[in-house]
Amino acid sequence: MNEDNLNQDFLDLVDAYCSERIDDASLHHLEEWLLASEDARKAFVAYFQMHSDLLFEVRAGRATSAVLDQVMDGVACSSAKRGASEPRLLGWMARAHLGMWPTVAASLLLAVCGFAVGLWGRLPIRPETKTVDSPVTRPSLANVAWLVNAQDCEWATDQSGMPGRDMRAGKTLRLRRGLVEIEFERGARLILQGPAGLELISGNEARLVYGALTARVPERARGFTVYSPRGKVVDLGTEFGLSVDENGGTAVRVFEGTVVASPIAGGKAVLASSLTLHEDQVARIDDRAVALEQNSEAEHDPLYVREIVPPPIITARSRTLNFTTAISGSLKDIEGRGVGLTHRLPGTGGGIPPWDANLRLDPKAGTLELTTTRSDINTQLGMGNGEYLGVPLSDLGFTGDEDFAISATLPNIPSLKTVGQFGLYAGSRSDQNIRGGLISQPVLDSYMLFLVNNDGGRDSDLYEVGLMSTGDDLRLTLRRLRGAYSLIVENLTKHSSSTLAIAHPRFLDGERDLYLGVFGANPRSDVPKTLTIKEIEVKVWTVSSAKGTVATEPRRTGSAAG
Amino acid sequence: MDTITERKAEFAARLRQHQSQLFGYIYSLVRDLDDADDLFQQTSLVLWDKFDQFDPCKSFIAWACGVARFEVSNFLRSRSRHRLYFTDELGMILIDAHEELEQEELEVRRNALTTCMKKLRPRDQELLDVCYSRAARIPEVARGWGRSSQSIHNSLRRIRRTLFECMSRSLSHEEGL
Repeated sequence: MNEDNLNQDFLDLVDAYCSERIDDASLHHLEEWLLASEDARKAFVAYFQMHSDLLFEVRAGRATSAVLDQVMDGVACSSAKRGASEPRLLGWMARAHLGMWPTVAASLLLAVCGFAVGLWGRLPIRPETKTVDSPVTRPSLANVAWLVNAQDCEWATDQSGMPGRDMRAGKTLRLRRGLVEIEFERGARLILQGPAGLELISGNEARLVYGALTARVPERARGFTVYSPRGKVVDLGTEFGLSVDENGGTAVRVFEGTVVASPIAGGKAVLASSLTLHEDQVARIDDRAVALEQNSEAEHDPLYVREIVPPPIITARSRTLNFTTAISGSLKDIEGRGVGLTHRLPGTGGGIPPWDANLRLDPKAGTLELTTTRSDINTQLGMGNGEYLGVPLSDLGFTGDEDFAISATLPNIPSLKTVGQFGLYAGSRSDQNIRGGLISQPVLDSYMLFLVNNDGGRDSDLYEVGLMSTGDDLRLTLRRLRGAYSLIVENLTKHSSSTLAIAHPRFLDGERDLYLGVFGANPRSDVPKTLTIKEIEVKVWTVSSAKGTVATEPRRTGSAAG
Repeated sequence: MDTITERKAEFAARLRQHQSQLFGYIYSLVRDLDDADDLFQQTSLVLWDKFDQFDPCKSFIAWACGVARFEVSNFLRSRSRHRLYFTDELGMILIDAHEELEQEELEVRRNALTTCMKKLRPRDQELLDVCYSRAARIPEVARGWGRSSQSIHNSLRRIRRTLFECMSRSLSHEEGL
């Protein structure tokens, strides 16, 4: 296939991606392509950017003057200061975003007056002091709150109950389940626990229609008020929880600081019946009274969620060797070129000279040739000559419990004498490992797949399956996934694949000094054979908490634990 | 002008300059316009919040995409996955490609796109207009045009490829001047 054809195939994939018509397999293919090539990434970005700009261009052309007028005269915009350079912001952004979502005036807020209303507007506005406590929602173009976090959430299917771009005063959010965190304009943050209904009233007020929430209120949002069908809670700089049951009965719990709770009757807060609540106090607001609950473990008190704890982040760290250049500081081939693999499985290769005559790096072809030696890990024969090359997993942040994988591509597999074998291993020593790959058969030019444990020098739990022919191209992957080992053999010639799994070798669990690598051996013959290895990739998936991390620094994260 | 006003002006200018690219980056990761819109807004807010941390000597788009990637990643984790998305790792290295694209004049790219769109056959322009405005879904467009959905998709692909090649030609011509 020539380069042009490759380019065409690649652009076809990118185009399928743009048009949302890509299947999972093609997506993986595209991803591999993008990971492997910088040029591919540039082309992808340029193509997708064109697709994205097209959306803007076309929609810009269709923006209606009516909507533009609305923006130009919008309350929100007119109240925002515009610098001399602002008209361009209005120009392009308005055209673009208006064109895209002409029906949603709220998008104008952020898009057009965007930073004016959304950000600048946060600073100076203080809510008016009100005497009437049945809050009247003032219609406004401005969003008064933003969704800042969510977990496992499901909204009411009816469009009006979803947050979307519309977070204006008067909007009622209906959360069926899960958690969402909402930041109000003045800085108060709510965690709403589904099922719950919340009406946004202003940048510092909301009404809990049903369900439960917790609120954290910084000093600048002091006075943040949450209404319920029966009451009103004014926060004085604190953290509290509020819940409303199906009858409108309201319970409030203070985690920190102070709140003032009042019943509402006839649309007005009954200030005479107000009660100031302090840390760890729980009260119920019913009809005309606020009653302190003596037992702070009150039965009506729901389980309040005070923080959305993100699921752990799984970080993939990988090292890929493609054998296109000599790498210093690694094992050396017959001519002293570093092959990229840095270590040998402890207990193997002790008798092999520093310039290993069994290794030959071919940078032009991008391959490593490995000539097998007479050794047998089963019974530990000839281990000093054994070719078990690899890398220590600790180099990739491995500390003992993480999952990992090693893959190698082996084009055109040679025939080895009976019990000749090659493949991948994971282990700490020559007599503490699990290895798998291909083992030759009495029938000339054929192999079976195998995966075997070696705990103490003898093979156990041997599993053999399948038949492969000399000359096939293979890709082998040995991995530990959720603690369990398996070997995947993809036959690139026959487009088939097999996965082998055996009894779990506990002897490697928790072992910190693990090595992953490739091996080749002819245990019962002195006739060496040469394997060609095209690419080796080693990956470790570390797990960490996402809490408090911010991606201003490049952070390698991956969700590809599968 | 006081400092905060200057900061706001600087932020607005930078965001304005890079908004389409930032949007494109987010959209390329989530592949859904509405989601991309929400995330774009959310990211913009976070960018302002963190603007103090931005080093003006460095690339704004790289910084902005870095923040966006975090928002996208949180967002994708927070919803059930009905489809596959790029890994975070790829999301991260794509930022470099965006940084490079930034080197090319974005205005020039947009002008090139507009010029290339005008060179399309009227019928292709019309199809582009109907489909990209999302005024109608592809099956509806197909019915209206008396064609199959597949054939509409094929046409769109051809049009995009034509535009892409036209843009590449016109940009390399610019470079050569």
